Amino acid sequence: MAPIGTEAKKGLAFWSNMARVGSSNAISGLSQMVNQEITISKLYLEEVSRRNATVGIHLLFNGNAAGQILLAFNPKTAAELVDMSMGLPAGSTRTFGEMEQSVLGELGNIVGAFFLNAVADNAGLRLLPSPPAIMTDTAQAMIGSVMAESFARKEPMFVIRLVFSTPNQQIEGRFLVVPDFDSTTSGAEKTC
Amino acid sequence: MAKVLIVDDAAFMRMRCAKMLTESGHEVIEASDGIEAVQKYQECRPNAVLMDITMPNMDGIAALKRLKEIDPGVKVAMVTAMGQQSMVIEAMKSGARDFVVKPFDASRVKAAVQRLVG
Repeated sequence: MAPIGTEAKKGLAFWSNMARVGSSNAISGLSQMVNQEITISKLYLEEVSRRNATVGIHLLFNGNAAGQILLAFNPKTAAELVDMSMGLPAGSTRTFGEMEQSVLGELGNIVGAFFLNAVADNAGLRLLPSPPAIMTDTAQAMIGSVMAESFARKEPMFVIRLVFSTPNQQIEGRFLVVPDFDSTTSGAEKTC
Repeated sequence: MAKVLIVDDAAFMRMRCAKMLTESGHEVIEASDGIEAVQKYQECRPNAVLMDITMPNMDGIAALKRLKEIDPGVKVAMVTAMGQQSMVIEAMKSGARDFVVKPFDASRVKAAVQRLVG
């Protein structure tokens, strides 16, 4: 693993501090959207691995910090979230057409915005998400296309990884934030 | 009853808002980004506008500022997940009259429309 520079260390410290507050708010947003109790199962900052994503909602963010957000579910869970959001009986959603993708995009928008809102308000920053993009692909292709640029520019790269679920495990998903530590530094200096 | 312009890039959110407002007797017009919102506003002159912030092509804050230039009396409520303090302040300074954070209760959106047109 290559050594981490000073600026990146400041970014790492900032995002380590902000991971929990942002993630808690993000899951609160998802919980409100689908009207289900959802809790965080695991939260950690880890070196990224390329596994376990099949339906993804991807956002970029910029402002006082830049980075990427990916909300990932297996297709069955994504379909269940669409059913819940639209008030449909379980099992109604079988394909991801325009309306279903719109629901998933809005889920990503709310979860991503809630994460950024909490970080921004806690740190006195301004963080702006892009409109969401829906990706349905193999895990490797999705992670590869989303993070190729970050991998190309940064080695190592770190992600805030969050696993969350409903009490009965009906809904389980993964939430990844990939901050650009160098771009974070000016904002991070305000709070770290 | 009022004519309401719903501006959101998410078709699902437009559908949800439109259903709620038409059931309350309002007439609804839809736009999927800020550019279309400006066009529809000029064509239809709605009584109220519900405006998302994060949208492609032209975001909701830019569209709000453009609508204020076209019609200083435009009545806009922001309806967005972007509830950051800095964003709320900018929206209100730019002329928004209300700020509803998604995901919203139906009653909260209906109340916002009532305040805009009341």
